[in-house]
Amino acid sequence: MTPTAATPIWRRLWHTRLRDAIRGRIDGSLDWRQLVATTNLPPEMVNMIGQVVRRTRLWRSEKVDVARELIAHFQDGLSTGRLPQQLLLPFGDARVAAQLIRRAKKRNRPWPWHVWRWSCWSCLALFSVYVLMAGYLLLGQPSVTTDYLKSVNARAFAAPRAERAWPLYREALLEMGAQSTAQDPEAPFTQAGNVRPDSENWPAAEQFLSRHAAAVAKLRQAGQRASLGLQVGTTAESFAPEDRVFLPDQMQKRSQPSGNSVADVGHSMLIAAILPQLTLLNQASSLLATDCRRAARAMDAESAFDDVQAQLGMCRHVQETSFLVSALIAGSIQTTACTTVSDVLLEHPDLWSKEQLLDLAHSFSRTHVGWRRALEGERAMFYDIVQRVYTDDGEGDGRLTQAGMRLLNAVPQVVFGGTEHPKAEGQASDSLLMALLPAANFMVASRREMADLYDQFLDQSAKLIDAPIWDGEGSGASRLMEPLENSQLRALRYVLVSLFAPATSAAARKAAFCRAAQDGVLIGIALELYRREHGDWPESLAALTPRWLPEVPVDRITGDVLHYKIDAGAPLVYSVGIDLDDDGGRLPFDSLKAETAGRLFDEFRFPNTRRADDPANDGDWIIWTTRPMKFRSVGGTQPPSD
Amino acid sequence: MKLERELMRGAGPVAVMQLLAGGEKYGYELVESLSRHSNGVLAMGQSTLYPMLYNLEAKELVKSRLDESGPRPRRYYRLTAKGERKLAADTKQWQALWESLRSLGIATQPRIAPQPRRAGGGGR
Repeated sequence: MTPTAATPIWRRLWHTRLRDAIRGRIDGSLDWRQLVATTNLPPEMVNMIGQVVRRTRLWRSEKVDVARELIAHFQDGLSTGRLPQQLLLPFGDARVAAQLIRRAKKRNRPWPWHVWRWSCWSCLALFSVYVLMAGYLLLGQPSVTTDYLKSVNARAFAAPRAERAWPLYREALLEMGAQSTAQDPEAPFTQAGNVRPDSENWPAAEQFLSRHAAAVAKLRQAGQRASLGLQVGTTAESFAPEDRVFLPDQMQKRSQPSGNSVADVGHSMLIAAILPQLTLLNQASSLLATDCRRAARAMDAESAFDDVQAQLGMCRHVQETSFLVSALIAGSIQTTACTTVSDVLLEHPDLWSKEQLLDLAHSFSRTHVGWRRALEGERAMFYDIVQRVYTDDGEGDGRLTQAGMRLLNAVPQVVFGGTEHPKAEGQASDSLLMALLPAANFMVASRREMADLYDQFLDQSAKLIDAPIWDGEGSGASRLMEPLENSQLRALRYVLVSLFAPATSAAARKAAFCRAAQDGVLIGIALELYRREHGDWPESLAALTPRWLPEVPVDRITGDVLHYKIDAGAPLVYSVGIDLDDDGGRLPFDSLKAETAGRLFDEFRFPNTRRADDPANDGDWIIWTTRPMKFRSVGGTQPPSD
Repeated sequence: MKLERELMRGAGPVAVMQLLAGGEKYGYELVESLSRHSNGVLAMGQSTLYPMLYNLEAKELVKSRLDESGPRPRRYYRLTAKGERKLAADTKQWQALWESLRSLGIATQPRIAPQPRRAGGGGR
């Protein structure tokens, strides 16, 4: 009886190779059970073969081969006259036989199967290692050991209460309605800032100032104080209740950290610190610029003098919380003060007494923007993030944690969104972050590597800020960041540096500009003092030293001597500008910002590139003059003093 | 007497290859030949023989074919060229080992003479 004839069609179908089915041969030739069952062997042999073949757990075709070979083996043995027991005994244990046969048969399988098998095992091994590593990494927790915010606020309370300026500022700002500027940039307080008598806003500004004369006096008084004394925080609750009105809407809703959620951790980071005083004091210094011009027109030298002194005080006060943004605002306030002085000396050269001018010169000399200290603030901010993202092995190194990944995931919302509570979203993506943790640890630099690169970047940035433009010393910082900008993989590896490295090239440009503006004011005051003593302008800047100037500042672009000439009876002090050639004190084209024509210390005109071939850079950069200036229109050739 | 497993592991494949050098053989025939030629010393259970044959096949030292022309389908094994080279190399090693053992007085004289090999296998 053949297996085919005895077997039902469904069984034959089930045991037919696919290729046989395609060829139409449904013979059930892979049904090894049927093959064994239909032999004429004694039952104990059939049972032994069945056990061995079944336990091999091989492919059907392999089982059939094994079954056929064992059947032939026992049939051959029986044909020699041996009894079944005589053949079964030396056969050995069915389990062992099946195991050995299985191993040997698998070695005979085709190479693609072996490749596939090893691939599977490799994947499984890798997956196991990955899972183990995930387990290990999940045990790591960041440890926040330093309260950087506390150390920032410590400076605010270093000065005695009576020397703190913020209470006076607060009163003045509230009286002038400055609290509404957080929500309304068109508020009268803002509109009255930095207005000139030739502006259409002048009457309104003048009216605003006379209405708030007492508040302006408080601003002047506050500007004289040694310390700002404002405690900053990351939530509305960390501010005094009377200060919360100055916070923007979304910051007012930011709640006090109460747990370990991403939002809570994020909101306690130094980077999330709210610094309302920066905008407020910047606006207040602009208001004092307007007031100084008003006082000058009224020949109120004392008030005008106090206004400038208060501006310089504000420049110091905003730097009490030393971050780069604080330094940038301080630079703006300082430049506003420089512009204010230049406006007064241009319109009312005899307003201030000799003593007042000397006082102003000394005040300007003493007032510096602490760029390096600001960079240290940035470093603290970065280290604060690092301690919340990595574990700490006590030796400056550590690995990325799940909590750190959650934090990084939520940073944009925490820092910039303010009111968004990312708790739910954080939970939703937790499993994904957990799965990605080992991969992230491979991809992302370790704590030490991350901190090292950031430190290098800040060190280079400090050189950039300190270095004069002509030196080119500072290009190291941008060189350091280039790989991060050009390679996404590199940017991912140093993700914290990519995300949190400040724009120090812009800061360096601002620093150079602020120094140049300060040079201009000091030269301008010295020139005025010289004129009063000698009745005329000096023939060279060297004549100002050492009586009126300790030394003549150099050209901030080239490092050479500043150019000086008397033009139509007025002094003209200028740098050769970005094109590096002397255009006789002629301003370059002003195709983009014609409305600022006639202003000194226009930052827009300050060179930000070395592209000397750009026609827009054909001209000089005026440091000081007492004559109204005009930029040439595009294509025009008129000199500045026309 | 039967060999210890470790000794059998080394001697078994050589013995099987040596038997196949005389021509192709099927499983039971090999079992019988081993038992007969070695006076039972190299007799091995079928649970060892067939996996050994499959392993030799995986190493391409032997090749098998299914013969369905006889009274029952049988799988015949024959030595490949690679298997012949391997057998020659193994034989030398075993002879060297034997010489060493004899010089130590462990062995006296070979009781199993190697069979002459026939190139390309042959009839059954």
